[in-house]
Amino acid sequence: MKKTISRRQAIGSISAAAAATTISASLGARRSRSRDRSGRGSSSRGGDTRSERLEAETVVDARVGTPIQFEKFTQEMPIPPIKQPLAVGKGNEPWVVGDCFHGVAPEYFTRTVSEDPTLKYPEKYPEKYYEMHLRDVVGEVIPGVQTPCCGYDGIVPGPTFKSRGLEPIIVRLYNHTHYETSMHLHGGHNPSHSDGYPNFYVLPGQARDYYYTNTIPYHHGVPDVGEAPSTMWYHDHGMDVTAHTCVLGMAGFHIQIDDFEQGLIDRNVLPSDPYDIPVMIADKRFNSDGTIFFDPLDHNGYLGDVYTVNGKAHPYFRVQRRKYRFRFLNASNARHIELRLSDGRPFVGLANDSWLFPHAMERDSILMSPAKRADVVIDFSKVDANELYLENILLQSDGRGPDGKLLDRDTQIPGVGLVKFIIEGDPVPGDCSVDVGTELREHIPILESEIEATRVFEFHRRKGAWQINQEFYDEFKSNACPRVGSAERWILRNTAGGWWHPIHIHLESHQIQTIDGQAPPEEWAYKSDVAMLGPNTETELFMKFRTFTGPFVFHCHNLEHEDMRMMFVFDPIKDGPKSNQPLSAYYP
Amino acid sequence: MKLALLKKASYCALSLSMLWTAGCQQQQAGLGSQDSAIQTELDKKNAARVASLSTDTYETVMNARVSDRFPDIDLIDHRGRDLQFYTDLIEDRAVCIVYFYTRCVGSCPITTQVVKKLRKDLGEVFGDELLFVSLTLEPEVDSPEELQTYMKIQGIEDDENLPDWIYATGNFEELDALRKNLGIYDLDPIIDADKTEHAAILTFGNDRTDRWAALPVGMDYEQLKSAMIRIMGNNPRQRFASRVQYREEMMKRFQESVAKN
Repeated sequence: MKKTISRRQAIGSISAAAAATTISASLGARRSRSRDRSGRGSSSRGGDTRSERLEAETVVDARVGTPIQFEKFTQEMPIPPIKQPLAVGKGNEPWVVGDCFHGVAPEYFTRTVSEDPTLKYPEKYPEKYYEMHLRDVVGEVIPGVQTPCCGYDGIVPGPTFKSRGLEPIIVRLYNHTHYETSMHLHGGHNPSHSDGYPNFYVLPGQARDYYYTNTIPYHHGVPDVGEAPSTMWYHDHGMDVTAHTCVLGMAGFHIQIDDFEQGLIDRNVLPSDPYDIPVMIADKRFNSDGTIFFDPLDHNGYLGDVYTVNGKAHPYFRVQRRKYRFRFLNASNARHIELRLSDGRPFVGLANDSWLFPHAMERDSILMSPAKRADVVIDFSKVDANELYLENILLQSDGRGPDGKLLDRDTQIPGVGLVKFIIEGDPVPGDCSVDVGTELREHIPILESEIEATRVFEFHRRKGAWQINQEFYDEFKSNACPRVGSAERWILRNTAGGWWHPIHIHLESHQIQTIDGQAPPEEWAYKSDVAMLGPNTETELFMKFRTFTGPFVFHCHNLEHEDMRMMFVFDPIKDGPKSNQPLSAYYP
Repeated sequence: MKLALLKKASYCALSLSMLWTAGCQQQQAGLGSQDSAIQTELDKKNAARVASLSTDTYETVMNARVSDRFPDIDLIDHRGRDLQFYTDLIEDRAVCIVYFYTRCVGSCPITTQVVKKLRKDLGEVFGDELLFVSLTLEPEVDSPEELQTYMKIQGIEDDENLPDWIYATGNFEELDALRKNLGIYDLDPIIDADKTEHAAILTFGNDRTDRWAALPVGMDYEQLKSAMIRIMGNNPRQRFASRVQYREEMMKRFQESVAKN
């Protein structure tokens, strides 16, 4: 603090030219000292004179990609470990639930659904208690290069939660980083306090109890089993920091299996562990010193030129000749990807986002915006070759969105290999029976007759920032107050001139009815939680708002846009006006 | 009815201060006369919690520094002093950068009024450590004299009790490169050529902690202020303790809105 004042005095009193030289001389020395302390060295970067400084800038020029050369497909793709609970069952709580800085959701104590205060959540399994620590960590993303990251339990991606449908779990999250964080369970149906509302932080050095009821919403008095999620993921959602922390690695999988899906596994229809593999794809850019490049002042959307898969850059994965279930997740900030297998072999699609399809369907390639999941089966027993690549064939050159070109079709450049599958051995006998057409989970469509209200949300860009309906995110304002238990028609309109906006709506799935007046492709016709809005398109969707009162948010999942306040609040309320109103029933 | 609303509002505000404690117990604890007692109790707890926040300034080791990418260009400020962008304005301090030009009639005056308010409010938190920098989009027109005239018209004075506010001009090419470095540009060249498009974003950060962000001026003022404190603050105490004052501010606002209705 002392030094700041002295410099300011210098600026104020000494004549202009003299001040400039004095200041740069005295600060130059301090600057190199601070560089040494932070371990980056002062020789190549952070030079004392201006010419050295300009030279240093070229090293981190935003227009140049990762300056590290490495051989692809030399590291094995890791599978994140399964998170183990500290204790199971009531009476075994390892700590007093709610007795931490940020408390626990009120629903933990009442266990009631908000439509009917006498109705308890359906709970089937004993509660499980987890403890998770968010830490800084140094890992090897590119072979032989040490990269500082930030991860849940100090790993990237974070550990995989495996929960059963209707099994409540409590996660006490300790934040050991210097970022304010808020963990969002993407695809889940959980109380607002635990949903990761952007301003419900876990402050540095503090903890919060996330209470996941893992309950299923009701449909005409019975649990809506079609709504049971499968592949969820958790990631940071803290206001103003989401883009940065997600690039640093704050994300992980949460896989939920309910009785129905367990039945499919037991009957050997779907592959299970160890043939059920979550795959997190995220693009990154690196500086020459191995740190992850991130520019918080680039608001268009972060693009990397190195693809990490489960935390490793372009890994390989050894598989047997049998069916594998892969849960692909695009955990990038702004990168849209189109997945394809290098021999053009179609995938057997099981699910879009969190929810299983009514029947398995053939998918030649899979277009995924940020935050989208795609659950597929790949049958390696039919592959003659010993190698197969998972590729991204979508061309994207800036944060606005895909360029509209497919690599192999339009440019003669082969797709970018993300993972190399090394296929070993003979076909395994007694393989799973899943194939195109296999019946999966029942889908209950929301009917036109159930719709109580229609809302229009227009997404656009103005004066260097993105807005919804001419407004910025206001944490205190509810932009929509649907009645709990009701269904609504939402029209999402993108008028942002060339920008893509993947819109994620929290709390529940939505059912896309039309895109630009036409029926959506079949894989998007059932349930999703991210609606991809291409430039100048309009998506009509039906959605129900059940079980919990708000606040919840919906926002663009291009995380830079989200941090620039392209986000709205919806607050399901029990009764009352459906017009916009200030949030009144608001709890942490 | 009013009381119940107020109570709800207090929950709201509490949540936002993020210093909420066992809300459910309070929800069950009853209404009306106990309100003030609960409030005092909460204030005590909040004070204790603020005290538990660390005052250590961390040194970031996570990334190459954001400010490493800022070119150290030559600038002339409204007083005619020669300054270097990085060494004199950014290094080792909290700074808020605004784009403007004196002939601007669109967004600039609105932005200026918001920054004026911020200068006063953030000065209470940061004191001398904070600096406001206005960079011109039209350096060919905006000479130091023009800047001074503009400041006079806008009612901005050099005040010892407030954080410094420097209006600066320079070479067009260098300033344009700096603008792109700071992320104040549009990918569409036609929109990018429209200068008023760039004057509604505040870019701010702290070179010591290497935290940077940019937010639109058009968002809610209290939330903008709160976010700036959170991002520019030196340590957790400075960054998050203001949320207590913030809560009071929000309480006031809710009470006003209830009274109005």
